[in-house]
Amino acid sequence: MIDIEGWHLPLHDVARADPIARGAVRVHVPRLVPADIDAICDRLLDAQRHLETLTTADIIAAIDAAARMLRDPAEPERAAVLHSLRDVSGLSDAMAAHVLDRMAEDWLAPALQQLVGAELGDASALDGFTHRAGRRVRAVAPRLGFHVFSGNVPGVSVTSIVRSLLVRTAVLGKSAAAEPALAPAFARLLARVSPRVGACVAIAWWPGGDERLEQAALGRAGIVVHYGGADAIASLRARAHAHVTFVEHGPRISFAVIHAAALREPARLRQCARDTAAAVALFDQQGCVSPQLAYVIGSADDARALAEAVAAALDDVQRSLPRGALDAGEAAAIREARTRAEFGAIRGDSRDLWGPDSLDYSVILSDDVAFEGSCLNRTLVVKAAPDIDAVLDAARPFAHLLQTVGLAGFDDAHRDAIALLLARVGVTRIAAIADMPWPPPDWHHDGRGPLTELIRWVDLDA
Amino acid sequence: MQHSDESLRRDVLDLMARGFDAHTDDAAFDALALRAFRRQYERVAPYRAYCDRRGRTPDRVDSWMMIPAVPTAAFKEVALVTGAAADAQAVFRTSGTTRGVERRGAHYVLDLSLYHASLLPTFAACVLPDGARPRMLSLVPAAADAPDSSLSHMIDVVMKQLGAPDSATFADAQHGIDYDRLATALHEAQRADRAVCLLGTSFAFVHWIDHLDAHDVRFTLPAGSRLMDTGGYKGRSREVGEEQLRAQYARVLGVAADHCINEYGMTEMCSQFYDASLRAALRGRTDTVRTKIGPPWVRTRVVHPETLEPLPHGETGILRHVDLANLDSVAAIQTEDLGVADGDGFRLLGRAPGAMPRGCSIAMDMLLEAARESRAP
Repeated sequence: MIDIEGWHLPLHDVARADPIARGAVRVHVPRLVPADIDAICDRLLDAQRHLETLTTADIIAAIDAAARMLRDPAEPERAAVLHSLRDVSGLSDAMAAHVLDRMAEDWLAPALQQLVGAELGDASALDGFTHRAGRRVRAVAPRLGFHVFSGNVPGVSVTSIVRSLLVRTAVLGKSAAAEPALAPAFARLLARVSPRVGACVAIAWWPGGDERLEQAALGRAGIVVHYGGADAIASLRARAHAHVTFVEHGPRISFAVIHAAALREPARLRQCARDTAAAVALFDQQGCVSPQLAYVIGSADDARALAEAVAAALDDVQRSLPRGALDAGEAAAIREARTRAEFGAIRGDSRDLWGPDSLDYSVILSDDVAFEGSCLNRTLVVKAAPDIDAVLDAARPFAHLLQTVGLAGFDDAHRDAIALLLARVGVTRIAAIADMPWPPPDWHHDGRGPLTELIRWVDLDA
Repeated sequence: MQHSDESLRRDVLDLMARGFDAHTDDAAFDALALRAFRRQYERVAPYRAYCDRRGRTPDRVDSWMMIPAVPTAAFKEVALVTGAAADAQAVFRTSGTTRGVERRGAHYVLDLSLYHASLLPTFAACVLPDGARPRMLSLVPAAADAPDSSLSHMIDVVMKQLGAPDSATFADAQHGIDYDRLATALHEAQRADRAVCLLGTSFAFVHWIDHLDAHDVRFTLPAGSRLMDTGGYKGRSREVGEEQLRAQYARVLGVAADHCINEYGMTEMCSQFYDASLRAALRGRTDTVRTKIGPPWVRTRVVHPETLEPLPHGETGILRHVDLANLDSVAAIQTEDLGVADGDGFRLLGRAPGAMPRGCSIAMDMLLEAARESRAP
């Protein structure tokens, strides 16, 4: 048995609940009451006073050091996180290590400097009142944030913590049941390398929907950051005070738009298929940035050629980054979608299916242009569309759910025009397909500034 | 060809005639199943294509366990029938929607006599193991009223062949269940001290019990009365757990738990499974867990939801059946139902839960919802 400490509540003793056993992992969790939340918030607010006295460079250095430890193969916290990602989150070993290392790059000093630079020019407005266009301004954030994490993409929790620390907000985080290990491990490492910065992060765990504990946290936090399902977000938002900043990242869907020009030469087709397969496979397609659908602007034969090539590429990916575990419901959903496609093909219509019976991946060629989501876990739906207008019309009803579009095969002249059209239907990020899973550290997640959405500007005109 | 076809049908009917409790050894079952597979491979073109795509042809399959099982969802896409669909003596259809679009599966039954030859001994052995021929009271519309429903057909046949002559239906497709007439029949049964057998879907019973509770009506049905319910316990208006429902049957109807027999059947299969509870009770046993059992012309395996590899006793997986009564469609059926192999049968755990926690159905449901909202004025 590998024991995981599924919380980090500095300077506060709590009762333990029964641990949660999954595979070879036992996740230890606390049994919290609202008074615990109050006491923890008191500690965090005390610690936050020290955070205000540090420079951005100091904070970046502490985060960078903790991230390096998470990337160190000899670090026991890393080993525990990887076990949890496998047995609790259901990722394969190779995927767990790959995702952790790649996510942690965004917590290293160069990425954090890039983030601060892109958002605020430089760190001066975080470190004090600074001259901007003839006046003195400062970026000020609430002293305490309440973060609710989701389990679909490991490490988004830590990214959320890191951004808050940069703007001097202490964090009370609530881990997701599906990913209980990474945030507390990061918090412990941060406390180890910098007690003062580390004291500003507390990671709690409680069963989802415990309104008494949520209420206690909502009563103290000046900002709420919520990753999760639409219902959970709506419920918490309805109970938050009106003056509290509420930053939400709900479910989003991403897709690819590929011009047939990208498929005409064998080498380009293979490259496009490899890029698409990698984007589908990463996070087992659980990310909001993961493509679920690929439109081919071209003929039915073009779409078929892409589908076949992506299936071959997904077969390759399965060897290097195997798919994680499926639960019975996920497997049933995939099988039903596959049965429809396969018997469509058998019946002789233009639908088709590629993928082994083992459900390692599924590529479904569809015979209409309707916008649809896939069953995830490496299931890609491929459709032909006569032109970009057909894609835009299909996607328009889903405007508020759209996120990233991966493009291939468009020349420079067309790309900007198409990007604007996609933006008008609600897309907030247009990228090369290969880049879809890995946006840069300063990306405008769901269209907003990752640091500027956490702060308010204060003018000092006296 | 015609000859061997008729001999296969005769052999299957002979097996059924030997009854529910006859022993079939592996070799005998294999032989019949492989003959059925060859016949279906040759005659059902979509099934042949499905097998060919997997490289599993009759020459390469040497046990019933290897026969490619078609997912029940395939019945929504193609006609899986060994003859002409137009020649079917009955067409049973599934209800239901897939991704917001109504899609109904169709099971073309060419030979109802085979269906009845499976149905009757199984029902008799599991619901009437004491040889009783009680008055049957059905909460399901009659077949004439619901020609698509395999359940209506089944109950019609059972009432006619195994029920007392005054067995009757208390529901129709337009008006639902006639609660007043049903109450009168039950009061009559109580006065005459004459056992009855109630037949219905689980959610029909749930709604009826709600109605009885609302009117503060209770029955204490005569000794030997029994009840067969079927279908998921997921009601349209609310969900009731299996054990909770049995407690309500006891409380409101006075039918003991071991006399409440849950049937598990599906439109795509000619044979059915039942709780072994009443058979066990007659032998003086009280089963702590509910095991479903089927006739010897059906075999069931529990397979891994991802890999479809067989699972050992005690592990949860999806149910795969080979039903020789499906001689004229496809015998090997892969369900979406979860179960655990247990003793001579399996415990049924219901449908695989929607893939809620990590995405899929959330994304899918949200997309459907978004589409609906955008269409709204």
